[in-house]
Amino acid sequence: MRHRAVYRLIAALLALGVLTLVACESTGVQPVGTYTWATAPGSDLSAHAATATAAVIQATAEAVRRQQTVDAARVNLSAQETRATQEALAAAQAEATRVAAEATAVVQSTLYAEATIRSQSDFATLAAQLTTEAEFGATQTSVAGTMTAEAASLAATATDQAVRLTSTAEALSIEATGTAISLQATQSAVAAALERRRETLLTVLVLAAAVVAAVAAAAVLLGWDSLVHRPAANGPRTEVLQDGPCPPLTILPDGTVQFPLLSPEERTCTLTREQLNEVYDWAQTRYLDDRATRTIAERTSRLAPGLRSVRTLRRLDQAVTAGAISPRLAAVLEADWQSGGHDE
Amino acid sequence: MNEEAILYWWAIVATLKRGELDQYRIESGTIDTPEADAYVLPNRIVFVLDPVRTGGITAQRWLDPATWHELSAALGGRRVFVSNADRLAVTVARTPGQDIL
Repeated sequence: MRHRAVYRLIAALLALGVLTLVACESTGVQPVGTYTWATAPGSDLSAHAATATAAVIQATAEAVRRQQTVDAARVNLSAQETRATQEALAAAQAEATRVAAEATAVVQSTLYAEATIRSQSDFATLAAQLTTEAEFGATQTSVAGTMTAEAASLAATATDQAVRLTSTAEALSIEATGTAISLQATQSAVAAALERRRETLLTVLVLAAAVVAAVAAAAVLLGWDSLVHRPAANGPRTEVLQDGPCPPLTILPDGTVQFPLLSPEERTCTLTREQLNEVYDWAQTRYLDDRATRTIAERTSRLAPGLRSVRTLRRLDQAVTAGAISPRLAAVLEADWQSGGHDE
Repeated sequence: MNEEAILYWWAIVATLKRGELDQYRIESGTIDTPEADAYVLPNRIVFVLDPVRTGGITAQRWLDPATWHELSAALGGRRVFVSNADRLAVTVARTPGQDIL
């Protein structure tokens, strides 16, 4: 880029020289320099061209030289710039290094300080733990001491209590022995008293039995029937169950009630069913020993004369199975019941 | 003892012996009353009569439908009929108003 500008400058200078020569030629003015038209008014054109060429060469050389100077200056400037840049860069690097070193130092200082603080904190914590452990140990020692003292006190108290209880037990044992001896003596006395009372009671009972036996024997020997309430065998025992004009009823020893025949004047002496039941109940309670021997049919006949037995069945064939009625009768009964029992 | 069977038997005997014996003589057993065994079924009561101890009541009278009507009226309208096989048996319905003849 820069070289292209230099070449353009050189081309411009050459063109300017040519134009200057042409102008001097036409106007008679002698150009400035070594070669002038005045000094060589009678020279030819080739000489002028050689002079111009020499001038051009010289100008070109001068331009090249200047250009080289400029380039050298430029190179020098570039080198200076480079050097300055390097120096600035070195200075910046040195500054940065210094700043980094300072920052590093600051960071290290900070870390060191933090580590110091942390270590100091750890030391404080450790110291607190050690203090706590020491206090706990002291407390344990104190408690142990206290417990030891209390245990010793309790042991002493227990020993005293044991001694006292031993004494009390011995006293109680002695007292119990005395009580047992006293109780045994009391029991012996009570047993003796009971034995005497039992003998007395037995004597009284024997005497009472003897008196009763004597009275019973006397009653039997004297024929005192009313005393033992024993009616004569199969003999009628008359009990008056009705007062007034009605004749009395007769109850036999087996509980049978006999009704007398009524005269026409005594027709008002009939009994209702409830009254009759009361008579039979009374007769049965009067002869309890005989009631168990009577059959159900006999007792039934007193309540419903002619009705010898009553059996409750679920089906009629149960009576057939029991042999109470014949199968033919059962079949006829069932057929009549189903047919409505119409007239035969 | 089944009270219902006793009542029915009382009514039968009293009906058949009406005019002949009073209640006192029936209760006392001093009269000749028919004898029977009663069988109580869920819907009826059957009185199986003793063929020997008839109480003076003939078989013709037992088997007379007029007698049945008479007994039914005495038993509160209960159905009554007499069956004749090897023995006579009087059947009385336990519920009144069933097929009164």
